Amino acid sequence: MSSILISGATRGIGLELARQFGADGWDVIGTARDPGAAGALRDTGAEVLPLEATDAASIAGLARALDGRPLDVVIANAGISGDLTARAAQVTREDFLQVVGTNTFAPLALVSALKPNLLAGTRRLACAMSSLMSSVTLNDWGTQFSYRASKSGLNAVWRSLSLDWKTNRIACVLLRPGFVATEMTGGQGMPVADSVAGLKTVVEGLGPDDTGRLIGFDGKDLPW
Amino acid sequence: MPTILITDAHRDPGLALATHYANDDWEVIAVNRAPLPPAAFVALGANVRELRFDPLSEASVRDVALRLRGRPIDVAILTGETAGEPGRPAEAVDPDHWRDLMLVNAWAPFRLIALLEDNLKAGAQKVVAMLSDPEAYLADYGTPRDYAYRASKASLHQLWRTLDMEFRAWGGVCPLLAPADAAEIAARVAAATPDEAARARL
Repeated sequence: MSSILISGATRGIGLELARQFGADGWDVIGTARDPGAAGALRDTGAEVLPLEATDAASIAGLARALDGRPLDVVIANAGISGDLTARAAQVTREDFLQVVGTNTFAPLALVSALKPNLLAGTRRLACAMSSLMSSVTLNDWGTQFSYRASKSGLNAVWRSLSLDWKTNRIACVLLRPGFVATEMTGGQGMPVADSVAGLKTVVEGLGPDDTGRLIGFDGKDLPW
Repeated sequence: MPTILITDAHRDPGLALATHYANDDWEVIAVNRAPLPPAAFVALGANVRELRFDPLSEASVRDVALRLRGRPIDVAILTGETAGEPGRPAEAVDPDHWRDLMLVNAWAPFRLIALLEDNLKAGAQKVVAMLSDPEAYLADYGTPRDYAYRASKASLHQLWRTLDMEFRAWGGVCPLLAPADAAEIAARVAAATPDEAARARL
């Protein structure tokens, strides 16, 4: 049975990933900031483990809980949007640091801590949830300063990681879920089940040669 | 006499740019992390005004903006950055070093320009150029690691691109420029257009 760990799995895309992978027979571990409030995740059949994505001690605790346990796939899904409507002069240092800490640094810290588990797995896939907003090339309408910057930074991190871990045969791939109807989008966008069905197909088809790619739910690569 | 603001003008490439523009009869506002070398200060002449700037400090950014309140700025060229740690593996990335690089390389230049928007609106040329590093261009990655530096530069590029979108409403242009000699950079700044700034590549 293949195994997958999904961070930020209590709602939205993370929860649906747990549901769809679990329904397909995968051994799913979902992380939650508050496992006591992760009833929907638990109902998918997933194992729930605590994780505060930006807390080093919490990441270390997760790694200890999973010590010696192989993981085929890790999806660093946990993320925040920050203030999406602030104009340039309204963006605060606190918002910027919180968003880049959660969306850019935390995914690297998570997969780094779980590298031994990935090395013990068979598929060896380290995935992170990026966004259309990460693309500098496609940015022709502005807005969302902190969020965009965090996802562009994430792309750089993953791209670098893909080169670093090539010798370990761990494929590091960025995923783009598309514009999905979640709390972050105020319920606008495509049904989350449709996006996740596409992402699941993409993840299942990934191999070592895909490392360093930024791939959408529709299987298409995005320009940087 | 036109006015240019240059960050990190106490050292090259900022110092070379300050010298170039001062020799061309521009008023130079040097926003520096460290003092101008005395010889450089003398050589730049009466057309230079120096302000101290700590990119890790929000109070320092605000202080620079306050001191320049009401003064039109025609061109800004931001050159400041802190180098990364190229050899550090992913498992050993230090969160404090990461935070400082994000603040110095991405947040501080963005924040400074955001607070100087009115000064730039009042200027004639309205160009806000960022000198950056080809390593930040993801498609060209050829070597691993240097996570914090690359993340900070990729974030900076996206902030600058987004800033360009916002500033073009009043005619502002925010190009990203690859390093070159001062005359070449000045020529690119003089020729900066919205179309040029729209190109994401350096």
